[in-house]
Amino acid sequence: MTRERWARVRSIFEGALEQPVEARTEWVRQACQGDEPLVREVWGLLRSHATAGDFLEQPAHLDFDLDILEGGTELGAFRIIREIGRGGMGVVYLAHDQELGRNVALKALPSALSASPELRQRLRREARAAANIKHPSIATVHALSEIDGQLFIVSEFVQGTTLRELIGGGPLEASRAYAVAVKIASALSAAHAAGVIHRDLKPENILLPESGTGPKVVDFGVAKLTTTGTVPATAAPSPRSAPLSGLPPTWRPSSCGARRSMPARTSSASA
Amino acid sequence: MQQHADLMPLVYDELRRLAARYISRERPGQTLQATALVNEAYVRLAAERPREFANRTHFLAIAALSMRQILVQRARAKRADKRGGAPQKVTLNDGNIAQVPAADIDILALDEALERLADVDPDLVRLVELRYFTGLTVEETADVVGSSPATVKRQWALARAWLKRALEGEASAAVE
Repeated sequence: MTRERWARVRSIFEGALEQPVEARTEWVRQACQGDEPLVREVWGLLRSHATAGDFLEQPAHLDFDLDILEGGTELGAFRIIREIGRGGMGVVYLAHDQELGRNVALKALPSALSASPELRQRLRREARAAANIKHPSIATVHALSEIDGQLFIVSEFVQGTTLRELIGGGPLEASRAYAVAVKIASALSAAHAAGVIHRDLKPENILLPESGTGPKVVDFGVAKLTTTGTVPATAAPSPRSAPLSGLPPTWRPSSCGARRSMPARTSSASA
Repeated sequence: MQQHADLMPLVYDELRRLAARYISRERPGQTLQATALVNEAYVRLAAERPREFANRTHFLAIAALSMRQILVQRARAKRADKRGGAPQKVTLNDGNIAQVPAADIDILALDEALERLADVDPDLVRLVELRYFTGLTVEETADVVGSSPATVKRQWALARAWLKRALEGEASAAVE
């Protein structure tokens, strides 16, 4: 097709879209002034337009293959069982530690990202943040390991549901909600005392073990480590729009408000 | 080379802004793909011979092409895997994972159709690279190519109609 001809197709097609749907067929016929092949070409495109639905409307990166480790893959002593979750920066697997004979959760970078120094540093920071907090409501970090260039965090595997799934089934009984809330507050208090701000606390990141023991706060992927050891009580949580490392800090002094320390607040919550 | 090295942090910043945009509008299960794709585009751009970007528009056009190439190469490798009899990857879906089924698009067929479209209307190809392969919205695309959102919308409608017809033509030819 020549440039000139395509320019006509294009302008008639675009002109037709300005017309009401039922008038387009006739409008095109008139615009083409008896050029039958041109009529057919534009009609064909209009038909295709009418049935295009959401064709190409979902960006292509959703098709990007992440090279998820398959069940049965071995990383040293760990045998991957299956993927159990996915966050902005890593994939979480259920794995079996064949040396110690227990199940663990492994959080690893997908292979396309495992060479990125920045993301490796983030994963290290995440491991360190969570490992420094000792609290029954924070999943225990066992180790940070690297095997065949694959860096991963090994932590306690919590069998259970997320708080998101639980509240999806209807509101919690007040006494249960209170019990869960108090334990989460206590866990955050321990984190803040260790100088760690979670910054991504949400129902998806709170696991409720099947065993019936208290909730577990997980995913310190965007946690912030402070040097002072304590954190102002009203520190603003990070908005979801800024989980990438290196973005300008969202924490402004003005958002920190009252300089009350967390331990004081915790004692009142558990009293 | 020096110049190239100086430029790369800026390139990465720009790519990161792209990733941040994806993250702000997508569900958590999808952000990792976007991050991975952007990261791979960065690695490729950094490895290529030094080049200068005239401006942000030029850079985004190059990055968009790079993302298209990455996705096409991966699709090609996957097809080769299947033909070679290599074990096929099994995706294990767990109820906990926010899995959003990606639209069922044959990237390789789309790529070939885009090659043909390039002979007819190269502007539409660039538009598809920005909208589909880079994931920019209509408004963002308009900003990058320097036209109005209304114009981008019209061109996008034409590009989708043309490509859909091209892909369906192939599918029906294959059945016959």
